[in-house]
Formats: sequence, C-alpha cells, structure tokens
Amino acid sequence: MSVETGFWGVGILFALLLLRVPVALSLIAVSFGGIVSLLGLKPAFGILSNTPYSFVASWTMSAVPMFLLMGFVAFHARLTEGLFDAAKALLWRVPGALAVSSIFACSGFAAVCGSSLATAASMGRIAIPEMVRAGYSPAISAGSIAAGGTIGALIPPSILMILYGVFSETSITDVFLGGVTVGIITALSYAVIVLILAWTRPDLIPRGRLEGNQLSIGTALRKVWPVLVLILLVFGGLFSGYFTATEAGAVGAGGAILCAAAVGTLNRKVMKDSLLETLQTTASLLIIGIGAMMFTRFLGITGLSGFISRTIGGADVSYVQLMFMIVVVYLLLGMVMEPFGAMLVTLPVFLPLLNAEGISLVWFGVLVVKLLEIGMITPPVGLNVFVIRNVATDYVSTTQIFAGVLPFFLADIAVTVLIIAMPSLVLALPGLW
Amino acid sequence: MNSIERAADRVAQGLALVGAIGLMALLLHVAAEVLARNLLDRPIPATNEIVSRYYMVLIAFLPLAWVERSRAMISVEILDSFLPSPLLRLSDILVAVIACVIYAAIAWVTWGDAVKNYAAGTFVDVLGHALPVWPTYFLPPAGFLLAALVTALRGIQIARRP
Amino acid sequence: DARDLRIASGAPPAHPSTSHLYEKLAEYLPEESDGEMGAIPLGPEVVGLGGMKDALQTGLVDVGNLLPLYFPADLPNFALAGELSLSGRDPYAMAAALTEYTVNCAECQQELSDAGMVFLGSGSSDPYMLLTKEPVETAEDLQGLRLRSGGAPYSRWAENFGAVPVSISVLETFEAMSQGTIDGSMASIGDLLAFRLVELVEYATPVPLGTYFSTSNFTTAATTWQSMSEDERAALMRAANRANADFSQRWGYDFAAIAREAAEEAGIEFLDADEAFTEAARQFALDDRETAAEVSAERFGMDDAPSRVDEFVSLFEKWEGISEEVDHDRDAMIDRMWEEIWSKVDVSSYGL
Ligand code: NA
Ligand code: NA
Repeated sequence: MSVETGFWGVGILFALLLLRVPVALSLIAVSFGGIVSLLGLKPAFGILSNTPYSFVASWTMSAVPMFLLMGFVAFHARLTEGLFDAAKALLWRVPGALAVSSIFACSGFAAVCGSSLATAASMGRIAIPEMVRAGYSPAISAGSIAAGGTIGALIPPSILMILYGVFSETSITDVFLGGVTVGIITALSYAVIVLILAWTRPDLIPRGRLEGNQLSIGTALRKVWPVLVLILLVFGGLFSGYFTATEAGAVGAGGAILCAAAVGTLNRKVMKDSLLETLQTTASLLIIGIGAMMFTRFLGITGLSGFISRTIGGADVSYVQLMFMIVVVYLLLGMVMEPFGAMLVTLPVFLPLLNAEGISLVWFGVLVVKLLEIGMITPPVGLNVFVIRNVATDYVSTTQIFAGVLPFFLADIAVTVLIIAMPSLVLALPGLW
Repeated sequence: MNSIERAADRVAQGLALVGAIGLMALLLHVAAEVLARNLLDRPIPATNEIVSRYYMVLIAFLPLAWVERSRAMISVEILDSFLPSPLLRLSDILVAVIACVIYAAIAWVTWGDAVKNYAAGTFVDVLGHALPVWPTYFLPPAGFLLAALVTALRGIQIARRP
Repeated sequence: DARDLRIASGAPPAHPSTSHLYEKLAEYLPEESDGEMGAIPLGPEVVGLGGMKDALQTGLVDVGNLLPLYFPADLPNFALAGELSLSGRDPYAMAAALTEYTVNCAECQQELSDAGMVFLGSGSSDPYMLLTKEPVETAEDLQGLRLRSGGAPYSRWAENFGAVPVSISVLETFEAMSQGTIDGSMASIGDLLAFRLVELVEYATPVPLGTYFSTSNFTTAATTWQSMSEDERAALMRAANRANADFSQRWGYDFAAIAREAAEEAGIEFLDADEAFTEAARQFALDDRETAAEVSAERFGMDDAPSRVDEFVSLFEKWEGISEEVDHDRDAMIDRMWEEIWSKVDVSSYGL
C-alpha cells in the first residue's frame, strides 16, 4: 500500500525538522523523495519544477505581502500606539487588557479580510511588541496573535468557506452566517483563556490593572485617529464595493503610508525597515507554502483519500464516533498539510457519508473550517505560527510560539466540542434568513 | 574569502532592493487600478495578471539568497538549546549542505522549465491581448541558484571557522 | 493483471468534468477492455487545471482533462477554436465538430505531438447567458455594466455593447459579485450551482453568447499512448468516445436544466432580450469569426486562419444537422461520432 510511503514521509519530515533543516526545505525534500519512490524520477522532477511558480503566481496570494506591509508601516511609523492607548483607556479594568484587545482587533480585522494568514500578519507586528513591553510573556503574546489570526477565516469573508461552498454545493451565505457565530465564540474563548492566565499565571500575563487610566477616552481617541482613518478606509471601501479583499491589502498599505506622512512619522528608515521586513517575511512564507503544496500533492498521490474512506467508511459507527474520527483526521492532517489541500483530500470522502446521515452541510462546513484553522497553529507545520515568528523575530523562537499557542489550542478543542454538541448554535443565524 | 563574503553581501542586498521595488510596484499598481476603476470607470487592463505573474514571482524568488544570508529561513528550533556546541556546528554544516543541494536541484529543474516556456513563448490572454509571461519563468532558477551559492558559502565558512 | 492509468479531471468532485467525464471513463475502461484496463483517479489537490500540461508531459498523469486555453502558446489551433466561442449554439455539435477538426488536421496533430499529447475528443458547455444583478433586456441596459469575461471573445462582445469586461478567475466570481466589484458574468447557467452564483444573481438573460468548447477532455500522455498495445488504444478510444458524450449531455443539457430549476426556485428572473439586441448579438458573433482569424494570424503567423475558420464553421454546421436529426440523443450521438470520426482513425498510427 502506498499510504505506507506517506507515513514514512511524515516520519522523515519530523526527523528533518528535528535536525533543524528549514521547514520549507524539509517539506520539499520529503515530497520529492516520496514521489520518486511512488512514481519515479520524471514525475517528481515535474512537480519540483512547476510547483514553485504555480503556487506563487497567484492574485489572491498577493494580499499577503500587502497586508504585511500595512502592519509593518503602521508599526514602524508608530500609528498603532494610539490604538493600544485607546484599548487601554477602554479596557484598563480588564486583566490582560492588551491581549484581549488584540484578539478583538483580530476579529474586527477578520470582518474585512478573508485569510487567516493575512490577519495574523497584519496584527502581529502591531500588537506583540506592545504586549512584551507591558510585561507579557513573549510566547503567550505571540501565541495569542497566531491563534487570533485564525478568526480571520471564521468570520466572513472567508476564502476557505467560499471554496467549501463551491466544492460541496452548499450555500456560501449560510456557511458565512454560521461562521459569524463560531468566529465570535472563538474570540470569546480566547479572551477567557487570557483571563484565566492572568488569574493563575501572573508571570505570563500581568494581572495588575493598566496604568492607562490617566488617559481620558477623549485623549485616547485623539491619538487613535490615524488608525481609525485606516480602518475606515479598508472597511468602508470593502463594504461599499470599491475594492475586493485581495485589493484591500494594497489599499491598506498605501493608506498606512499616507497616514504616516500626515502624522509626520514617515521617513526613509520607516519605509526601508517596513519594506525589508515585509520582503523577508513574504519570501520565507511563500517558500514554505510551496513546500506545503508539494507535500499535499505527495500525500494525494499516496492514495490518502482512499485510505481515509476505507478506514472510516467501512466501520459501522455511531454519530459521536463518526464525529470523533472526523476531528482526529483533520487534526492529524492539519499538522502537516495546508488547509486547501486537506479540504480537497477529505471532502470527497466525508460529504457522501454526511449526506447519508442527513447531517447539515452548512454546519459541517463551519466545523471543517474551524478544524482546518486549528491546523494553522499546530506543529510542526503551522503557517500562522511561522508568520508570527517572522514579525516577532526579536522576541520569540518558533518553538516558543508553538508553546504559547497551547492554551488557545485547548480553547479551540472546547469550541469544537461545543460545535458538535450544539449544532443549533451554528445553524441559528443561517436559520433566521 | 573576505572579498567573496563582501561580494555575497552586496549581491544579497541588491536582491533585497529589487524585491523592495517589486513590493512598491505591486502596491502602486493595485492602488492605481482601484482608483482608475472607481473614479474613471476604466480598469487598468491586466492588473491581475501582471501582479501575479510578474510582481509576485519577483518578490518570492529573487530575495531567497538574501533571506538565507540573513539566516531568516524558518525552522523549528526545538533542539537548539539542548545541543552542545560541536554538535550544533555539525548540524549547521549539515543543514547548509542539504539546503545547497535542494536549492541547486530546484534551480536546475526550474531552469529547464524556463527554457521550455521561452521556446513556446508562453503568454496569457488578457481581454483579447496577449501578455507574454515567459520572462518571469527565469526568476525562480535565478533566485534558487543564488540561494544555493549563499548556502554553500555559509557551509564552507562554518567548516573553516576554528 | 489489469493495466491502471492515472487519470485526472483537474476539477472538484461536483463538477461535471469529474462526475460525468472522469468517473465515467473509470467505469467504461474495464468494460471496453474486458477488464484489462482500469483507472486510478488523482484529485485536484494533486493536479489542477493549471498544472495539467506539466503533469502530462512528465508522466505524473496518463490521461488528463486539458483546457487548451490555459496554454494558448503551445496549442494555436485550440486557441483558434477558443476565439470562435461566440459561434457555439448546440453543445453536441460543437463537441463533435472540434473533435472531427482536430483528429483530421495535420497541423493540430503536429502541435499535439510537439506537446507530447494525444487527443481523444472534446466537449462543450450549454449556451452562455448573462447572469446579472441588474435587469438586462436591451443593449442599452449593458452600458457600463462590469461583467466577468472568461476569454477574449467574451471581452470583445462586452466591449462592443458598452459593458466593461473584467478578467477574474472563476473561483473569485462569487466574492467579486457579492462585493459589487462586478455586476454579473457571461457564463454557463451551470455556474449558478457550480460556483454558487445562485445566491447572488437576480436576472438571467439568454442572448447569443456562444458556448465554451475549446477542450481536450481525455488528453493522453504521448509516452503512455506509445506504450499501449493497439487493443488497449482502441479500448481507451471507445471508452473516451462514450464518456465524451456523457459529459456534453451533462454539461451542455442536464446540468443547465437542473441549474435553471434551482434558479427559478431561488427567484431569479429570466428575461427576454429584445429583438434588436438579440439580432445585434447574433450579427456580432458572425462578424467576430473574422476577428478570430485575424487574431490567430497575428499571434501565431497562421496565414491560412480564414480558411481554417471556414472549415470549422462548415463542420459544426454539419454536426448541428446531425444533432438535430437524432434529437440531441446521447446514444445516437455516441454512434454517429464513432462512425464519422473514430472508426476512421488508425490506432496503429494515430498520435504516434
Ligand atoms: Na474573514
Ligand atoms: Na499544523
């Protein structure tokens, strides 16, 4: 059975990562070797030669560098300091106010941005330095934004949900509406985690109230106007149809540069630092994306879909057992695969099963997107973690971020259980329409 | 060795500069498209294709050598704090060798691809006009080759260090 | 020991090119070969439409669904057929005509052979229509509308009527339409279901817009074809001919009917284009054949493009007659396509 080759591949991938081979190169090497052993040299060379270009030459992907640039400019030009002053003025009574405001900022950003990666990228550079300065553990600060980014794909718009709707022939609008609920619940669950940590581990998140209470809300609002203008520009333009979510990145980056110029903080160094950091993050992320795509193709060739359907479809299982197996499959695939590939490999297997059981495909879509998004923060291949590693490179290592993500991962599991236990929660909003 | 090092630094910085220009071009092009479409009702043709086939390819591949030079490739550093320094050094050399081999292999196969696309004169059709895209197929082999050279240099440098 | 071919539709599971093209091939291949041949399907996560050419050339895939308009530089004759999209009316006729044209045209065979591919038939969509958020009944209604265009002829058509053609990928249509960056699409009514536009579109206006037929449904890797025995080649050819008809039946007729029903259920209003608009569209499609020839002559130095266009037009007029005569019946079309095209192909030399 060639699925065995797949398991070997995953094993070797872990070994290479432990040997400190860069993530992208480990993925590429294992996929290449695996495809050689399954199909021979020529097809493997074919995949090696065409994946880099075809993965990168993508219009949708162009939003990632632009949103990154927006975040870097906003950070270097100190546009965002005001945002956190405002959050402090409003939330200073709440323990862990900075982390809580960052998570809600992610949710707000999620309402305009369709991708989890872009959400994490844009918030990371803004929030993490502020949290570290306020005495937060760097790992938890980075972890909260890596996890907060996943809200980007839960609250509509969401590229993953659009693809799910298309592949499963389900109403995208309904999946979006279900996503609103789950996105908000996810944000709340992360906030609860922050509160619990502030309560039990003041060494990680300072418990004390913020000093921001000297700042009146009025003063805070005056400091925050550049960011408000930027948010208004991006939100307003998107909702009134002036540009798409992909174009919003460039508009946001351009807007950040103009705001910085208006405030008087734009200079050569700000531009140079922002552009170089954006470039470095983009290049190192895209090559990981290329590796992840090759690895997905390798696993697809091993006959993974068939293996999953034989393992799960053959067994006569109860609803709870079926759900358990689905969750486990997505968590395992999410460790090493990118979300689109994992969706394509699994949907042909799961959709007929669910149809036979009469399970709502709207509900399942929301569940799948939630599970795939968990994969963005789990080791060893967690794209949100990698993007945060790059924007917070002075503060944390990849391993520390994975550790910092753990409490939020537990919240994700709780939310997953809630989605499965109470489908009506997800279906309430779509049902109203 | 020192002059090679300096040359490598200069090339890497040059690549970063080109990449940064690519980023700004992407920003300005998309922003101009949004403005032209909404204010003048005249979209700039081929924005989508130029962004994806030109700027994105430029941004992704050319800076690889610079990213390697600044040691910014993402890895999972679980063992970093546990390995004694001789082993760490050995692992650094091993990683440089593996990286060099992989980059060189990709450079080689994408070069073949680029030549094929050049021969075919690959283009995309944009609203009835042919936009040639074969030139950007040469960016991946260039980027990967330079990355291979930079990692080879790094391997040698670590090995020669006393 | 059965010989298994790796086959790839490049499309998601629900799309007709998976459900009614590649799944059918997998079903027919053992039947036509007395169980000597079988298929291993590879999903779009392994090979997508954009990577199909490379997948065939490197032997990753033995038989793949190649959309030649993704690779116009490699396949000028298919590019020419793509330029003629506006002329499409009857899905079976377009599919059969392009199949007959390609099988018998020496330059086409040379092109395919240079690309390392063997051609085993085409398919066609149903006639395209305007799927919009604003009502369109007259040519004036089109003024300034931003419409998604799936290719050059549609862009020319839109510009001619004062609309603004927008080129975006089909997967982005939903997002673009929901955000109002486009007002509609020139597309198969099947897109209402295949890309969920049914949730956004409010009006559908049939108007002569042609069909999408520049396809190569079962492109076979030359190396695979060479390694097959004559019996195996014949079996694959028979299976492909049957599945090709299933596909045109599904994509060109049945799926369109299902989508129409869903559209009516969703409250989408079907509008009649007024006489003048319909006539203008028909005339534009006729005139556009000349443009198609000019484009091919200019792009590929295809000096005989006008006579190629004439030849192709006479072929699809012939097949429109046949399709009419058999009342668009799938089984009858399978027989006629076999008789007129494939039975005349010599498996000992075709594609070699
Ligand atoms: Na979102
Ligand atoms: Na993961």
